Amino acid sequence: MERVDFIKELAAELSYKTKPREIHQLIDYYDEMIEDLIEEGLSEAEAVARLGKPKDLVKALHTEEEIVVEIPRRFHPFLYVLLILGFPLWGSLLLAAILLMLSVLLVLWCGPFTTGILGITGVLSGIASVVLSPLLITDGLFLLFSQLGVGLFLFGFGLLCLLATYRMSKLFSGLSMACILWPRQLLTNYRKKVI
Amino acid sequence: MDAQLKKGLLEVCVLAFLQRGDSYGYEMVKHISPLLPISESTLYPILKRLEASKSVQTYTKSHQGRTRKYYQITAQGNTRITEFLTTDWPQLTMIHRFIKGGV
Repeated sequence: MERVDFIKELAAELSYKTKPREIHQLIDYYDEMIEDLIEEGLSEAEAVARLGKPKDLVKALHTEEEIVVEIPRRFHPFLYVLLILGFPLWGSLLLAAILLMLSVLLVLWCGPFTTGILGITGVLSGIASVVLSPLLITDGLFLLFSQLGVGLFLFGFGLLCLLATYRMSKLFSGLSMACILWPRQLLTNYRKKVI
Repeated sequence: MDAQLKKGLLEVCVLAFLQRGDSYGYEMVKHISPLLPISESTLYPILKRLEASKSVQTYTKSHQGRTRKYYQITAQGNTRITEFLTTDWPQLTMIHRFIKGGV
């Protein structure tokens, strides 16, 4: 057997039975051994033969329980069949869940949207009222001051609304991200358990 | 030799060999096996255990266009050897005497 075949066979024997990092270290170890044996004057075939069969090496490793961790194999084929056959059921449920989450997000964002619109219109109309109020001087001082007062009130109200928008968006964007990331987190956690 | 006993002795032998200077896998096999037969595959778990107990540390060095993993003994490794010589070995000689006395 050649070096490459030995490494390939070793990797195949180790997969699903050993942590990926451990596989890497083992392959590096045996690869270095083969190279050193060749450097010592052995032929490639002799060097590989001296190390023994990859299958036996892996079996010997298994007795060292602290090093090799048994990891269950992936899904059973039967589960795949069930997954495909059950799609009309779980597919629609999944769609409903996604749409439900979307509607929750939509309702949530209605708040900042409303205050945002109120804020912008309040600030703009406030500025307009204040700036244009001197034009009312010909109609009487009473009207001018009323317009100025209303304008200032609108401006202040608009600013408050914008502040509320800012605060709410900040809060909700965190919530929205959590809503979007939560299923992904769930999936990765699940994967960690399976593989 | 009993497998468990051999494993324990090999750990100390590897550490003792590393006390003479840093070394790599093949060199250790070559120098220790005349004393205590050791194969490439038995050395691996021993090195692994020594590394886990921080008795050795590793580094890589390039050698003829490839990398080689070198092992270096740590202070903990040295303590382990001293422990073997001062505690384990006297105990082993006592056990030896005990077993011999029974025969």
